[in-house]
Amino acid sequence: MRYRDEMRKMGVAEIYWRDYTPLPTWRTPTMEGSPPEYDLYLTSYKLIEFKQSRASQIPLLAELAPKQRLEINPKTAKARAIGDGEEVWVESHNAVTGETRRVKVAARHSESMRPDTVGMPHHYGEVARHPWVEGQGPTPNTLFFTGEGYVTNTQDQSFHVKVRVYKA
Amino acid sequence: MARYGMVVDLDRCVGCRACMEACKVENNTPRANLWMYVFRFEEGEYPDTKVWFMPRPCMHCDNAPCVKVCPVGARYKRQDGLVATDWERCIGCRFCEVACPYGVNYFNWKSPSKSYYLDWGDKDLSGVTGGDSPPYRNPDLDRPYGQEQRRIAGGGRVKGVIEKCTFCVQRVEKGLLPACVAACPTFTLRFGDLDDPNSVVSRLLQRKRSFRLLEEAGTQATRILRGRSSAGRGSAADRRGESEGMSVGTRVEGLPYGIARFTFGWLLLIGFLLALVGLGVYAYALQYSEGEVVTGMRDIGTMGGAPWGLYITMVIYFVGVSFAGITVAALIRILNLERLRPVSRMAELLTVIALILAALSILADLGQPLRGIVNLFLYARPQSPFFGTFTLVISGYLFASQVYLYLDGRRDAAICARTPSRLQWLYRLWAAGYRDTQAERRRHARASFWLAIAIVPLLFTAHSTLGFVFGLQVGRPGWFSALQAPGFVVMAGVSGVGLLIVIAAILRRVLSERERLNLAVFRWLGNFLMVLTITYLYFMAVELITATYIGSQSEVHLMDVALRGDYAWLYWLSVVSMAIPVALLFIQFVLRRHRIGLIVLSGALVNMAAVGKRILIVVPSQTHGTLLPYLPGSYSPTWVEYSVIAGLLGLGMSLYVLFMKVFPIMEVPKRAEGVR
Repeated sequence: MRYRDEMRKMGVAEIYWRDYTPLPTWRTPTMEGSPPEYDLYLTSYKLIEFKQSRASQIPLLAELAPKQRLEINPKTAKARAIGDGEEVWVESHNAVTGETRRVKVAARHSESMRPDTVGMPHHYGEVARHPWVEGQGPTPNTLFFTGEGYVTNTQDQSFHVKVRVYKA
Repeated sequence: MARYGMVVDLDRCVGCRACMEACKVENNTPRANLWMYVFRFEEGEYPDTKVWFMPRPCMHCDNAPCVKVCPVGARYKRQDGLVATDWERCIGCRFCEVACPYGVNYFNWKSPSKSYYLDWGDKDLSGVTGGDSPPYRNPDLDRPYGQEQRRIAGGGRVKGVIEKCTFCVQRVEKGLLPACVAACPTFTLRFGDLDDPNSVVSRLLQRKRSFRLLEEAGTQATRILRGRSSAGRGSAADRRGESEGMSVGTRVEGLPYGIARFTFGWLLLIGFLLALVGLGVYAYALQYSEGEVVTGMRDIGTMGGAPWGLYITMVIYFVGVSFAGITVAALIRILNLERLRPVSRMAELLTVIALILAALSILADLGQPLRGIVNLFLYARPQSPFFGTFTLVISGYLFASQVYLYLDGRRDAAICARTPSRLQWLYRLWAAGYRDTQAERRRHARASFWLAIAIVPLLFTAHSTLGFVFGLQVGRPGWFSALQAPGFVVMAGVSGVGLLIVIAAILRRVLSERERLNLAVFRWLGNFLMVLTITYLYFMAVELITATYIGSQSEVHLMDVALRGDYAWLYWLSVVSMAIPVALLFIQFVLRRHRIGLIVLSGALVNMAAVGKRILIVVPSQTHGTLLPYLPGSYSPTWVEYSVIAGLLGLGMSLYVLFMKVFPIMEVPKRAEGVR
């Protein structure tokens, strides 16, 4: 009950009861409900350098991957006039509550990214709360949402978001 | 004897960089010294992109350029294939760093203990480490290794020496694999005895295709599954006036050219110059205690810097400027160019002082200057181009110029010795019994003539040798060219003659010698300067056409950087500063109407162009001229470098000005000897 009240307070209209099924079902991912200007998918991944340390506070490892970056396909970047290494805002949208969140990060051109997707690794970010990680960059966790539509109740739902990227 | 080699299997590398970390931990390298580095390459357009990684340890080349250029033999190739650095002998000249095509060398710009990953002096850390004393220093790194028992493991604990991958010699001697090989999770790096057909590396080389990285550079790197006419006319003219004057015993009215007379203006000048020297000494003391991290120089490659900067530029400038003295002396003696006699001593003095400054600039640049002085004598290697610089240039050239200056000055010393003064003892010593007899003069002229003949080849070899320092480096695009040696000879002429013109003009005013330093002298020097500058512009044009016609990628990129990129402003400024003098001098030559003011302006402009062009030779090939795909770098000199150079220039000028107060800067005119 408390959960439903919390959700109603956030302006959620419906609870996704249909997600509570014993058999896998498919529905359009929540993120597709965001307005069309949020045109890029955001994917996050882990870096090999921080596989064991999980966060970036060990200076020896941080030397190998010093800063956070947003990997973006060069064509996508060119369409938004974003050069390699430039600071950009990445803004995500919650299709259920309408909330937007954004972080500022340096973009990195990478042919290996799909043109419709941008990627940001984990490990960085102030959530590590360690004095040695200052200045390394934000965490993509800021951009993801919890709450209806973005929290899996079974193991078949995605909680990805759609973002838009623009120059800082 | 085992012959060790490493084989890198590019099919297997996943870019985990465990090898980089393992190397750091095993060898305790400080921050940003990446002995092992892994490149990440991305090719193609989405969706056909391919990402692959390439580890780049030191290649331990069989034909290593770094071994060839080390002036003291600190970098040497062992019998078992390892290229080792003796960090007790290294003098920190960074020649191996600029010669390496792969960019694997790292210089300790500051004391390594100051650039570890954490501030180990921090009190808070002792709570973390439980009171133990980090950083952990691998004790094996301090022991000597090999038959020669030299200290080659690890990077040396002092600032001012070079370090690089050692194939973990401290582990190999125990029969272990190097740290990177041991840490690699995918068996990308393999290590073993290349002479043993059953070793892992030999079998891999038989089974898979392999190449050597930058094979065309010829380094055979580890494999990847890689200066009086006098005898003639002069003595006839001298005979009448001089012998008469000397037999009558006439005294000169005081010493000529203001010698031993200290005016307020002179004291002010020398005070200012000594203040500059003081600034230079202060800056150098800071550099000596902190390390060269206080300069703007940094490592090539991963650090994106230039290990050779303004100090080396000034070495080349000073050696270049020393061209003037030798040439003027030689031209007077060998070609009977009496016209130039008025400037001969000031040119000789310029040469001597310039070479002293060049030697001091080299010392200022060395990471371990005291070691440099000792080791260069103990261990000098003729195969290194620096050997030619130290012997032919600094020793031979300087010595010959000093002898010439001494011989040339005996007559004037004898004249000055006639007047009683505080320095009479010096003049007597210098003259050393010079008698102005005909036989003496003829002997003197003959000696000077043959000395000039002996010096002229030195002129070409000395400047060419400095050109070879750059021109022989196969690993530095932009440097590797047959034109460097002759180009340096011509450029030396341009800056030397130009500076001589400026000095002559200043002295013309200061000494009120309008008649002897007349238009004929400047006209001759101006025409000579014109010919030399046109020749140098020709060299630059040839270089431009060669690089841009169908250039190699690195050459084209470097030319682009010079013409349109980061260094364009300096390139075009230098070209204009050479073109304007050529135009001025050529117009005067054609119209046959010369003005001293314009000639002096030309001399000053070409000197500025000379410094600019030398910066363009030294720096861009390091920041933008790497054969491996490092990111482009930059070099900005700091106040320390500017101050040390200002101090050197102040020292040179004060020596010059001091000499002028002690000895006549021009030949004492015969008129002064006659009866008044």
